[in-house]
Amino acid sequence: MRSSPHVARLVLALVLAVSAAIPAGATTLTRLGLEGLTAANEMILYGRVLDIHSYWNADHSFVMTDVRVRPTRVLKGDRAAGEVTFTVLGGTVGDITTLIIAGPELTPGSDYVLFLNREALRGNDRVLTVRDLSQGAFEVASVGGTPRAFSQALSHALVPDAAGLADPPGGSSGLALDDMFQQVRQLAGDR
Amino acid sequence: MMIRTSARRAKAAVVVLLVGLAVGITAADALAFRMIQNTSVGRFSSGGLVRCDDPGGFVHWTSANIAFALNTANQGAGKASAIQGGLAAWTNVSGANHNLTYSGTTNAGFTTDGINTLLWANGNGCTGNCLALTALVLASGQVITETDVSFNNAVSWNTNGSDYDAQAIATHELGHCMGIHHTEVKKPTNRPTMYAYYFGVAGQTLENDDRQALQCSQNRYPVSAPPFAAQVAALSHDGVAPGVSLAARPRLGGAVIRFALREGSDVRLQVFDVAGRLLTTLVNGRREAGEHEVAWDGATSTGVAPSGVYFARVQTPSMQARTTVLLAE
Repeated sequence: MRSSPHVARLVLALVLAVSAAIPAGATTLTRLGLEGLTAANEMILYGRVLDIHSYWNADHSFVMTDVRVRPTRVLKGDRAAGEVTFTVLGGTVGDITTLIIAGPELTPGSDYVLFLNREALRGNDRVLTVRDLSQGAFEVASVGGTPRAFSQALSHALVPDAAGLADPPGGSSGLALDDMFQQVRQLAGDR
Repeated sequence: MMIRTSARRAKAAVVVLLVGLAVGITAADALAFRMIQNTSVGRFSSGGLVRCDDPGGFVHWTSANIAFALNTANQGAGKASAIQGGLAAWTNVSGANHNLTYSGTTNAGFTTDGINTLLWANGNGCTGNCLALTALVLASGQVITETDVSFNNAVSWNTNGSDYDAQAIATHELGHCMGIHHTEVKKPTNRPTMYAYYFGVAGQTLENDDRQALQCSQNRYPVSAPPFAAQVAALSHDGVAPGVSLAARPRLGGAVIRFALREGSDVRLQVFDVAGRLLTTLVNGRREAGEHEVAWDGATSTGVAPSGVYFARVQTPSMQARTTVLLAE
């Protein structure tokens, strides 16, 4: 199901996460649990990134990237959605790259659980985006034959939440994908 | 005998343990900081996290002088001192030439416009649980050409050390602006500014781990000396000015700095590093006409300067001269 480079990348991410008790990252994000992520986002899906397209926005003031995803499951939001396209800040156009530190990391052909919401983005209102940056993207990989979801915030340190928790949902062990689906659906009010 | 041997062994074991612990702590600290790597090829990336010696290198500046402007809209009002404090923290780093300056206020926003801007806003991709967001604009070769920081305007910001302290988080984000990722140091006290949970007044200043990160950038991607050298050169003649001359020679364990005055005068003789930071004042008072020699063993107001190249400047009320000082081991 997974390509070996992806597995290698995930293993590396896990090794880094385990070897570094405090995961590293950038930007400053306060930790969100599944409850907070589910409540704050209008669309939650599990799917495969088909392609990414980076471009200068209309007034040539910022590089943006459109990401096209084919959902396998929609956990919250429009279940009839075929392909979904969302927009994130940053990307590469020619020799210019804009990095949004602690943003999501997305590779065409890879599978993710994505938490998406419509937000004001660079002057455009109501643009579907990964609102919670690295906290809103989970990589999916098979571990021991069981698919598990690993928060991309594992590689980005988080400010502890009100309960003092700093690890993203699932921590370095990740979440069993089916369990995550069930939790999200329950939190979204779909029992 | 057995007891003595056991005691010796135990003592030796304790020594070995302490030495090992010390080495371990040093090694861990030395390797704790991380740099940002551009890994965007074929994918959408927010920047990888690598060690200083990573074969792929990391993002960096090619200029020592980096000016930042503050947009005072929203909660940006009244934050100039906090921002300047953050800039100063990354400027006073021994072994790194980076010179972060405050260029004043701006109307510029979170845009690719060649202006390094710090601003408080909504709608720049930093909402909800995001406190602040750093963007880096890179040219080929992982060269940083611009950076902007957007603070979440929906959060209440302070300048008194309580959450969320603008200077502490500005200092933290400015570290990212310099190409530095979060550190992996996790000690409970004296945490580096690049530790993600480190806020408050203590977060306004750098720790060794932070400095090592910028030194790593300087060592791998050296930036040219900041304007101090040019500024001094423009202000005075090299070694000789009307009425005053200055020269230096290395000697074992230091340098000898010699200056000559045509007339008696109040004199100040100071030593600076290549970044223009004052290290020490060797003479500050009246001296008579003639030649004077001062030995400098590298002592500074904060410690001992390593061997290397420095600048000395002699000033009287009406003239000044400067020279290069080679501090020998």
